[in-house]
Amino acid sequence: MALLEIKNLNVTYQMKEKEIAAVEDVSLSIEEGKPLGIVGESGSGKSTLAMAVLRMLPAGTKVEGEISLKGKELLTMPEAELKALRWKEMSVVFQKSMNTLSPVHKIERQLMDMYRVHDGQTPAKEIKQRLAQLLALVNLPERVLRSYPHELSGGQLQRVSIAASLMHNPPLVILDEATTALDVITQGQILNEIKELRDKMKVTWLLITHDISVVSSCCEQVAVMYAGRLMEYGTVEQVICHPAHPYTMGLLGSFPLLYGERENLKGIPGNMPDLSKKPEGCVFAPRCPYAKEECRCGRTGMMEIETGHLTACPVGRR
Amino acid sequence: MSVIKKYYRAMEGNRALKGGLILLTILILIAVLAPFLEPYGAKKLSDDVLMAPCQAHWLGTDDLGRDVYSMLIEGSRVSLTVGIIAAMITAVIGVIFGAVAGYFGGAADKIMNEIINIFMMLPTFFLVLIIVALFGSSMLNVMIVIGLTSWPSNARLMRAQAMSLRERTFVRSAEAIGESRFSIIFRYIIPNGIFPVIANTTMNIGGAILTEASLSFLGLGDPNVVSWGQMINQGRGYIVNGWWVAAFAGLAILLIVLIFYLIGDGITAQMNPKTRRR
Amino acid sequence: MAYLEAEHLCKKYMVRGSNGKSFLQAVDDVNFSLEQGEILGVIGESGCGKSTLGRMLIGLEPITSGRVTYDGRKLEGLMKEDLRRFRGMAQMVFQNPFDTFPPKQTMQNILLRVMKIHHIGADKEERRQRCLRLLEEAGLKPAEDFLNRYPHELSGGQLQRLSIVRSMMLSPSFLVADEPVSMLDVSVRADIINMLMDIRKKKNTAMVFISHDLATTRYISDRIVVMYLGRIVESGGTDQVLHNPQHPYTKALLSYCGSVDPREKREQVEVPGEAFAGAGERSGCSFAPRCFMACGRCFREQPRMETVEEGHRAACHCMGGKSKTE
Repeated sequence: MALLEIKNLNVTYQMKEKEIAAVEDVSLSIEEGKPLGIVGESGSGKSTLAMAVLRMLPAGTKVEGEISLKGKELLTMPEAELKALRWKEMSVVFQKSMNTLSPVHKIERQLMDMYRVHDGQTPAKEIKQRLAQLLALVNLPERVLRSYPHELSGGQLQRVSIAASLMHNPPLVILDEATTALDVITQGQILNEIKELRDKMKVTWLLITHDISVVSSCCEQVAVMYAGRLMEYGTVEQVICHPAHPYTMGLLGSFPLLYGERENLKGIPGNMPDLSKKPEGCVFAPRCPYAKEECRCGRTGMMEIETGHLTACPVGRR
Repeated sequence: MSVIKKYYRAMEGNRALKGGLILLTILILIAVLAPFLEPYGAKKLSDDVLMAPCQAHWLGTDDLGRDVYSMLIEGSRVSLTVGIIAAMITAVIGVIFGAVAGYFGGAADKIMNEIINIFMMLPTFFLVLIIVALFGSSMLNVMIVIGLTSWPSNARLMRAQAMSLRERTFVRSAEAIGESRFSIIFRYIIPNGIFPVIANTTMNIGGAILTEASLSFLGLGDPNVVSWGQMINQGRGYIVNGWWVAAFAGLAILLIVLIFYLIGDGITAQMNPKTRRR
Repeated sequence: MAYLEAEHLCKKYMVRGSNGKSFLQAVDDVNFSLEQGEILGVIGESGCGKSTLGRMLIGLEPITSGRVTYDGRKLEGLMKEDLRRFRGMAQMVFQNPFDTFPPKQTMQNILLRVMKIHHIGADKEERRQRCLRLLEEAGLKPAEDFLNRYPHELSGGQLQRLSIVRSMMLSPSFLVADEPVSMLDVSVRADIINMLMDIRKKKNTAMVFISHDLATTRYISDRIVVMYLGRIVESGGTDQVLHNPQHPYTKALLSYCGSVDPREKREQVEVPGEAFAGAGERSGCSFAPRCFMACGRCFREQPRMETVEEGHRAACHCMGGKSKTE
């Protein structure tokens, strides 16, 4: 059984005068031990997807489809049950998680409070031991516990947030652009730690990022999203080494390379479409170099071109 | 038309602002149409001294036989004029002073901020008393004096706004394209930071009206006009056998101050994305 | 003589801490020169002083000590003589395109304003026509449509293009681009980079391209300087720095640079800790506490820039010598 299974998910934001289809008909699944990376640019709906899984979307947002975590249906679950499930079964680290820490309390006190929200039984001494153990996992010295947030750097705070997310050994942790705002070296180090934690803690990551290199270094599965829709889905090897969708190709092509031929950088011409207007046919067609007449009218579903490798584009791989 | 519609829709769910604006419109209409609404004329004396409210004099008459209802309507003009003009003076001084201090920063800001602090600490009302006592109590004097003493709150708000706007990219890029400092303050800082000042100024109107009423109550108002503060002062002596002289004027002051607070509160809520309903 | 020269540039900020006043050295003894039409990439992590340096070069930030000269003429002199003319000569593109324009004005007001300040065009209509032509040249079509929009209605890529168009209206001979693509989506970054390269080709504009990303910078820059905590630690031709890095910090940056290819395994350089831009006097190399090959000398004595090969310089005591890992 899959750890997390998303089936035909649709998320529509209700604005004053229009509806915005932020996620449209997305189906994904995460197997235990196989971290999934969701790649997309701004407006691709990748963060909305994460919020839908966490059920943290603003009130009034229309969510349709099924999301099940270890076989338990999340979308229809009562609030109380969901609360018990959060942090124990899945947790999350945001881009600016450090902002959630209170500036006037020491890290230790805040982490202990967080621990107790989900487990009030454990004696303080045991919690402290657990915290020290967690910090060691993310390469932080124990003195961090006795510091205030302002005494720590951005990288250290983000490590604290990752440690906090692992507090109750959840099988699934969502990292929503968790390393984006950090410096290159710090980001690289944290990514290395993430890779190691996967084996040490038996945790499966759902990594949401705009940076393909992050996914290719830390994940096994990749889903590429554009304008709320799934474009391509498969293993890192399949999608990044042998992309089948023109959008994936464009994205890979615009990624700057450190070595190799220094030709002109290629981007993807055009802009993201207006999500409040439903396009006919493929959403990427207006920007696609291979688009044919048929791309602009009918929509095809995801099709499997080899085992586990799905693409939304019938044309891309002639 | 569409502009009005747009603003009306934006106000949806903001009852304080909507109610306040409707009441203010009524009040302004009353002040403008005062000559037509007064049955007797505010200054007309008669022999009906201290009459209780009755059919002929809806709100009674005062010790000189003047119709309280007419005086009340006439007084709205004084209160509104004094309140609005005085608050405008606080807005102009406060905005310019605050924007300059906040944008330039450094030594200029230090000095200007101390000046703001000094004005904040001054016992404003006594200063007003002294100035009015020295220079006479015409309505103009009263407005100017109130304006000159109560601008620091606006200056503080504008200064804080300017300090944060100064760091925004669009202000820096304005510097980079060669805008003069004068243009930056008037074209970039003030238009983008003025909203809290507008909200505060609306509340200042209420404050200015109160100050004017207090001055009149103490007998330092303009003796040539009828004002609510004066009416309360006059009614003071007859509070037992002629309560209506002071009471209605007091109610009027309460109402007008309330209206401006409602509007000020409403604007503040409107600006805050957290309290604004989508 | 080079077109733009920076000599011993320093910027100190006063910091008030618990133990009284102290100084934060944001930019420390920076030297470089730039020819007309040359693009210099300035690389560094957040807090290394690269943005401060950029602002100092065009006079948006006062210089504590040292000097900047344009064609041999001092920056202060140029600014004092005719500030407006100087602004027309040295322009800047900012990191955050979403905040570069005043939010309550239409693009038309914003763009025409620049021409008005600099007395370009006789009347509004002429300026408008000129503006339309420039927008079309920059690939912003239909141009009419852009003029009537407000900044919040446009995408990041469009805004950054407009920002460049606005700067180029003044035909500057020097342009500072401060992380112009770091807030944009990957697929539109190339557009901006290519647009800047195009401008260089057509107008021979000298540029300083500030970035934290070596991979992006390499596409546009002729030369690269690497900064760490306010100092230049390595400088040289783009390929020299990339293929033959000398300073351990440059090596570390390169080793952590992301790659899309999952099969590519890069040896990563161990760099403990994080850059800490503390106030107060420093002795020795500022990278020494994190450096894998630091020796006693590195903590005592500040290394000077030394020539490695023609045009390639780095500041490290252990350069050339055997490091611990080798």
